[in-house]
Amino acid sequence: MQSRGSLIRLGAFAVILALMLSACVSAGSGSSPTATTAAGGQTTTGTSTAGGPTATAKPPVVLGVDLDLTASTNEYGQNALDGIKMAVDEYNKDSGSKFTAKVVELDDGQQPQKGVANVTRLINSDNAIAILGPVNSGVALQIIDVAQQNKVPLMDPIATGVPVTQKYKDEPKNYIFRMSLHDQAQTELMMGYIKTKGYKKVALVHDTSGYGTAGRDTANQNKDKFGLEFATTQTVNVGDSNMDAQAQALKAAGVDAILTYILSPEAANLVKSLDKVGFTPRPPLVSTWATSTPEFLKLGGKDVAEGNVTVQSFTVDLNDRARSFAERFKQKYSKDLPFPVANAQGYDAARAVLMALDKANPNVSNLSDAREKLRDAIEALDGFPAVTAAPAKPYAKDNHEALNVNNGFLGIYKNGVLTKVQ
Amino acid sequence: MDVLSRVVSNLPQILVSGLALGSIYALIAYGYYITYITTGTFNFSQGEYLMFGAIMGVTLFAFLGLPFPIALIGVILVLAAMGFGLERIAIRPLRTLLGISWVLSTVAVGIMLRNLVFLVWGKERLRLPSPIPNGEAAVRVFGVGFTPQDVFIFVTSILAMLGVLFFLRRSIFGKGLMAVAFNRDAAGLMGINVRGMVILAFMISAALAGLAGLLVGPIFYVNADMGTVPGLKAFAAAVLGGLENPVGILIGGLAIGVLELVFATIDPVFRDASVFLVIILVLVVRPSGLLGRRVIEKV
Repeated sequence: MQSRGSLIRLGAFAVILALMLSACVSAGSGSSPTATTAAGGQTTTGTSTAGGPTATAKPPVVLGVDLDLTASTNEYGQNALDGIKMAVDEYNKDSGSKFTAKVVELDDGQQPQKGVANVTRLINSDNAIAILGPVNSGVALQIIDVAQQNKVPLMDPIATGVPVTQKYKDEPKNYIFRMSLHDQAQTELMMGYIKTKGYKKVALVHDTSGYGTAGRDTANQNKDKFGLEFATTQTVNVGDSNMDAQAQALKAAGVDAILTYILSPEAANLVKSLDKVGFTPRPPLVSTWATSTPEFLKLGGKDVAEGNVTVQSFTVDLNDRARSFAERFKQKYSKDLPFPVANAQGYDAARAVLMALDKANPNVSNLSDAREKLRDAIEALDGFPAVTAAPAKPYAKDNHEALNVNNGFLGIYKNGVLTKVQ
Repeated sequence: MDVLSRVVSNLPQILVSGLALGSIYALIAYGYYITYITTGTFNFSQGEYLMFGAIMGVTLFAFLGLPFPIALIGVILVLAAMGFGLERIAIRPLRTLLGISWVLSTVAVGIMLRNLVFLVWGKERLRLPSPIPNGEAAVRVFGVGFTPQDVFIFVTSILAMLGVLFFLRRSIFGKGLMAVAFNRDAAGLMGINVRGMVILAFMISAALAGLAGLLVGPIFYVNADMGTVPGLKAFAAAVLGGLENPVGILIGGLAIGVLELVFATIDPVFRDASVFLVIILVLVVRPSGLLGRRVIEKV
């Protein structure tokens, strides 16, 4: 029999081994389902539904889509994709449209190198006329290089990192466009709201990820502009289940609003801990759009969501177009918008590209020329009937952001529904 | 000192939340204990077994809407069967071959379980509702906040651990297990089915992890990655308390739960790292754990 001393040593060795292995697994965990999806092959949708003799007469075009469909931000990707597919279906059914569009979607599993491979494939093998995606700014910063170098317009419906559209702004032609509220605009909207509401003691809460620390830096750069001083700054770890310590600190500081750069699971836990430590009345979270994912309501429930505020570019009560979009979505997918802002931005992103395509009406047999004409038409697009808050003329030579601080707004959770703050 | 006063003023809250968390670590650690004393091996995918218990809990209780007691029995049966499978597939064939290859094979089983859950249940975080009415609504007593689910976790874990100890000391199967733990060869010669006892130990171990998963489901979010860190902390609890001492393991588990929240109060960023650092320091001073027997090893 082995002696006990050596077994303890063995145990210690095993713990180290297990730690190393689990680190490897978590680092690579995004890749396994991705690989399966890739092996399972791409999925294509769109064309066949058009049917009829008119469809055959229309030249086909491919919209290449690269999104996170399986990793931790898959809710953004899946819901944007639903919006994109709906826009393409409507376009194909419209007898006035000039092309038959087809969606080829690939999953990057949040990994930049996978995104680069996907976009390269979409451009070179699938002959995509434009790219829609990605979800993550980290992926975006890699794949925009591929799009710009190949002169293919890229429309990002989700990623919010400021540099995504700025990197190529001084090039003669910038091929990168966006249909989502960038981080700087989100921060200004949140701080503007705090100032208008007259909150005096404000806390900053961010997580330890790249997203959270970048948010913290943006907040600190902008606070002077709004005359803000943070009464306390609290950090949370991604995945923490208990946030009593942070909640106690927020209660001790007596804050009346909490500016957050955290994701839904952590936000739900933070609110639960605020209730647990007896912080009443509970100060609202004033959050980036991260807390508008369906997860926030699912994991926290109505009571946790109640009264919290989040940056939005779309709510169903925004206007008649938004309402009609929600109804058509329900008809098509037999469910209410699961993640309204991502559904709507995906829809608008695809529609802006398709509308510009019809306006440019390029000869698609000369693909590189068609891509360039499409880019010019997106930049010149006017009269765009957005369902989000994007304006009729979303873009200009020096502005590739459809959504900005002047058309973004805040939504507030009331009885489980996000409504526009008046 | 600012940090110290913050910890002291929050101590009641830290203790209440920490004990609930710690009782789970102790419960998982009992799974390590029971197989360690009988076979000298343990299941390094205990955390993944916890995760699978929570997944089964979501499936049976939330998706299929079965009553909680039925879901509980279902989870325990499924996990016990998985414990049986683990012993037959990942431990027994390898244990005689190479001294420590079972370490890798149990870790491998954990990785497979995680991938299986990715594929079948997806990457989404799932919600396991508390079986207690209003179980997740905060209650405040004497200025300390907790949820009924916290109390449920603590009470059930302690009861389960007492149940295991009672089973080992009093029941005929338990006595057989202890006999195997005491001297495998002699127990075999006395007519005890050693193989059967070993399998029983792994089944109990897995069932305890499954029970722990069902309990923590409502406070952790249920997904494929949820078990790894609790599994490691439970192992740390077992090592800290002394792998062969059930009372030590209980104390180790509770201590880690409380310590974790003390460090979270000082600075949340160092929450996990500090816990493991303390364990390393304890083991430098007392290599056999706080309550482990000191052993003089002949060389």
